[in-house]
Amino acid sequence: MTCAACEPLLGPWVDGELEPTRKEAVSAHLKVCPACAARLAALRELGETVRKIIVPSPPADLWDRITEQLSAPSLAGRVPARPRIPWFRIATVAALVLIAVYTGWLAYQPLRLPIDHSQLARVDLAPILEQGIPANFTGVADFDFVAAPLDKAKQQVDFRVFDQPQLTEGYTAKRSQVGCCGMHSLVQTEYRRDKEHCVMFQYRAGLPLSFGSAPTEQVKVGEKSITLVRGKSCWAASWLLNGTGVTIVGPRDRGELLRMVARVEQSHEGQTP
Amino acid sequence: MELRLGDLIERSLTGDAHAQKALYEQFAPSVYRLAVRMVGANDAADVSQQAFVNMFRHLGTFKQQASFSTWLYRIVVNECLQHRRRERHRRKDLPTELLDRAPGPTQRIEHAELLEMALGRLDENLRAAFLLREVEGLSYEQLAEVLAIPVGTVASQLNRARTELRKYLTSMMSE
Repeated sequence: MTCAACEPLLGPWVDGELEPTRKEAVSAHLKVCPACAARLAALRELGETVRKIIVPSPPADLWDRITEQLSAPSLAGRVPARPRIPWFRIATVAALVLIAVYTGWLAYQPLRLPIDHSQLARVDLAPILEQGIPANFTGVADFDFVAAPLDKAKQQVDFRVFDQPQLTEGYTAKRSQVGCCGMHSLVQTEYRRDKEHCVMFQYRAGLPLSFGSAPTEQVKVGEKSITLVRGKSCWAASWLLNGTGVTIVGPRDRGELLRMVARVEQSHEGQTP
Repeated sequence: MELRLGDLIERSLTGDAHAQKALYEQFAPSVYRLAVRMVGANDAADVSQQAFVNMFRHLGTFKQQASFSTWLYRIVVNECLQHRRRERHRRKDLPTELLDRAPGPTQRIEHAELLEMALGRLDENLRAAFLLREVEGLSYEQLAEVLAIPVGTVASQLNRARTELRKYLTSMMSE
């Protein structure tokens, strides 16, 4: 092997990415060529040196900054691109065409909920976990709810909504509502069994949920990983159902909640998002 | 109890704030380390912040069969490249931050610092390839995925990065 053939193989040799036959050839050449051996040593030194550059730990407030930005509308915190005139003109024309098309399309669509992007969204389940679901429950705080049958609700949100008429024996769906807060929306279905009450929320995966200080545990129902939360007054379970976030809150009994989860899973098993 | 990465991702997707923080804590050191070396210490926190925000916003699109760290590194590298483009546009008449710190002829500096400055002169894509290999230990296959290039060109990218770094180092040492 010549030095010219060996040199481009030294990097992959150092990286351990050379095929065995070439590796043998390079090794043989290195034994007899001090110049290539010196090149190899320089390559190794480069890697060792860059690993010695000291990098401080991430700033202590970085996580707070991230959660703050995640709670804000999605365009917050971005550096706006500087528009250039030719593109701006093209974009303006394109936007006008899109608005015209969208307006025409809207005329044939059912009424949609207004979305106020300036508002923040967080589903705060802590009061329910602490005190249970009140008799006059209308929905979680910060969300504005509008009554909508499930087939209508499905048209008003941008995630898949699953129809679940019953959770466990006796717990039957009474009404569904669509809730909206800022850019987020969720579908809330209330179930009743005599005086007992529980609620199933469905939402786009990633919507922030708060359980307050209630302890959480991770359990498996079948193959599915479920977050269980033990409140003072009731239990809650959160998991992903074929791409949709689902939370059931309200049962007083852990076993019954797990049966509810299993039933929902079985009802919609294999349904692709 | 320490959770598996897959569980952390699933729980994060259900909005579990504890899981989201645990996911952040697991990857924050490597994300920040890469950001510091790619864009400099002044901007690394902003870039890391945006990278994590993008990660959480698009977590639903992550396919569990793929490597999470490779997916995340791709987000970080893209954010670093975008940041550099915005900065270049904003400060096109100014030298880069790393070049600003070039030492005077009588100032004694360590080899690592020289290399840091040489990295600042390197093309961003080459720098990303070099750092992901040497510091983060990615394989050529993972590098190809993160940098969106064919596996066959990874070796030549790394060779170019190393050759140019050595050239910059030699020239800086002789100054």
